[in-house]
Amino acid sequence: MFQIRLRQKVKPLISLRYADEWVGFLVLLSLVLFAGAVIEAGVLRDWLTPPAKLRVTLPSGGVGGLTVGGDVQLLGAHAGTIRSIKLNPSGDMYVLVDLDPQAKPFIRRDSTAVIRKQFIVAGSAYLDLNRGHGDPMDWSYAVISATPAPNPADMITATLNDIQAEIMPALGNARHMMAQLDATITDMHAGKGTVGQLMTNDELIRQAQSAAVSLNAVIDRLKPIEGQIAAIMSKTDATMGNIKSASHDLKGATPHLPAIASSVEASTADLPALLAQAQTTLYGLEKLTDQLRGMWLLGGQKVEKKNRLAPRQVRP
Amino acid sequence: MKKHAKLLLLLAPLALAGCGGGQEAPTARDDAQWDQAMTAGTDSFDLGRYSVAINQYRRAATLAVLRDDGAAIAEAGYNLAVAQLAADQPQAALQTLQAARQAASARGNSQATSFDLVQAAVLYRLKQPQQAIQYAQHALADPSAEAQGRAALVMGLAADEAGNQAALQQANSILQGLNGKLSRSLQADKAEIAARYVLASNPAQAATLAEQAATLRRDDAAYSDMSRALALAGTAASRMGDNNRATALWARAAQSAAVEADNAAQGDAATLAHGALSRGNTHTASEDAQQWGAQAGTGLVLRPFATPKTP
Repeated sequence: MFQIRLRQKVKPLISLRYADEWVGFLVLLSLVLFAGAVIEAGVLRDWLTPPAKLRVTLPSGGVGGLTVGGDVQLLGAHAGTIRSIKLNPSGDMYVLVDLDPQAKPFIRRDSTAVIRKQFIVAGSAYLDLNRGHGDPMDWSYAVISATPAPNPADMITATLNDIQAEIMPALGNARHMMAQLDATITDMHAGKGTVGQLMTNDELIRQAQSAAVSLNAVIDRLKPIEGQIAAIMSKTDATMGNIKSASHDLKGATPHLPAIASSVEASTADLPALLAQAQTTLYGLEKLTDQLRGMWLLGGQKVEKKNRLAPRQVRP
Repeated sequence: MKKHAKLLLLLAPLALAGCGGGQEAPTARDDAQWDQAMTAGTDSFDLGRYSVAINQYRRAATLAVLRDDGAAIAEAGYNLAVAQLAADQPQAALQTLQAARQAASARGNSQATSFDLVQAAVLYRLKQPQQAIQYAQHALADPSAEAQGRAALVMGLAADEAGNQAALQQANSILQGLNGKLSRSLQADKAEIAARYVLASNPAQAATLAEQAATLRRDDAAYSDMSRALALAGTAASRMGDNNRATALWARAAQSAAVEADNAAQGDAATLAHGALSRGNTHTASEDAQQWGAQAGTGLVLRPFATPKTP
C-alpha cells in the first residue's frame, strides 16, 4: 500500500508496472474467498446460534452413571452433551444439557429422558431423549424429568419373586393332597370301604372267578349256535343277493309301469258301464227267450213265469 | 189269386203280432231291478250256487221293502229261506221266515202256508220234529197239490223221527190220496213215506219202495233226498237181515251226503264275508254222512276222489 521508493542505481531485471496494486488486489481476493468459504461451511451459523440449554431432573436414585461431557441422544442420534451435574437446594439432582439447536423442535413439554447404558447392563451411561408431541417447550426454562432404564437384573429378580409367590401355595396344596392320598391308601390297605374290601376280601374274587367259569360254560353252549348263525348269515346273504337281483329286475321293469297302469286304467274305466250294459242285455235276452218259448208258432205255449221256488225245492 | 196270396203273406206278421200278449196287470215284475235279482237268484239256485242265490234274494227282499210290496216281500223272503235251507243254514232260514212273516203281514199279505212248509222243514232239520209236524199240518192247507205233497213228506219224516205213528199214517194217507199224473218229486215223496210206514211190518217192501224213491230222486236231481232214501233202504235191508246190501246202501248214502256237505261248506267269498258259516249252523248233511258212514262200517272212504293231502 505504501510505495517505498528506493533509490536504486541498478536497473531491475524485470520491471513490472503497478506491481503493488496487483499484490493488494490478490490479498483482497484471498480475503473475499476465505469469507465466502467460511460462510459456505456454516461455521458462522454455528457461532451465531448458541446451544439450547435444557435441564433434566434426575430420579431420586442418583445420576445413574451419567458424567459431565456424557452423550445426549435423540432418536438414536447425537443431540448434545451434558454440560454439568448440579444439586439444587431441595436435594434433587439435575443435569444441564447443551442441546443442539436442531433438536429443539423435537423436544416438547411431554418429552422425557431415560438414563441408559451403552450395552444394556454395561458401558457408559447416556441420556436418551424422547420425541414429544405436546405443547412447544418454553426454552427460557426448559425442564424435563429423567427416569432410569429398567435394569434387566431387577426384572429377572421380580419375575422369580412372582414365580415363587405362585408356586408356594401350589406346593402346599400338593402336600395336602399327598397327605389325603396317603390316608386313603392306608384305609384301603386296612380294608375300609368298598375298594378296601375289594382289595382285602377274597370272597369277591372267588365269586368273580365262579362267574367267569359259568360265563365260560355259557360261551361253550353258544358256540354251536354261532355256527348256526353263520349258516343263517350265509343263507341271508344268498337271499339278499336274490333280492338284489329281483330288485334289479324290478328296476328294469319300473319304466314300463306307468304305461301299463295307464293301459289298465283305460281298459278298466269302461268296465262298470260294460257290466251294467251286459246285465241289461242278458236280462232283455232272457225275456226275449221267454217270449220266444211262449210263441205258438215255435210250438210253445204261454207259460206264466213264477218267481217263487217250487215246493219240491224245500228240502227237509 | 196269386196276388192275394202274396198280400196275405205280407200281412201275416201283423196278424201274428196281434196275437201277442194282452195288457197285464202291474206287478213287481215291472220293477226290473227286483225281477232281475229274483231271476239271478233262481238261476244261481238251480245251478247249486246257494250263496249267490242267498245274496240275490236278500237284495230282492230289500228292494221289495223299498217298493212296499207285501207280495214281493213274501216271494223274496220265501225264496231266501228256501235257499238258506238248501245251503244248510237252518237257523238263518228261521230268522228270515220270522222277518218275512212280519213284513208281509204288515202289508196285508198273509201267505202263511208256504212259510209254514219251509218252517216245518227247517224245524225238522233242527231236530224239533213235534213242532215240525204242527207246521206241516198248517201247510197242508195250501191249495197246490205239490205243496200239499211236500208238506205231507215233511210231516211223515218228522213223525217217523218222533215215533208219532198217527201223524205218519196221516201223511201216508194224504200222499196215497194224490192221484192223476204226478210229478217225479211227488211220486218219490209217496214212495218214501209209504216205505217208512211199512218199514216195521214189511221191511222187504219198504226196501223196494225206498230204492224206487231213491231212483226217482236221482232223476229229479234231488240228491240230499236221494241219500236219505238210500239210507232208508239200507235200514230196511238191515231189518231184512241182508247186511251186505244194507252196508252198500249206507255207504252210497254216506258218500253222496259227504259230497253234498262239502259243497255246502265250500261257500264263496261273499258267504265268508257275511259270516254265515260261523253262525253255529248245524251242518246236518255232514252229520248225516258221518252217521251213515258209521252204519256202513269202518274202512269206508267217504270222499274217494278227493285230492290227496300233500304233507
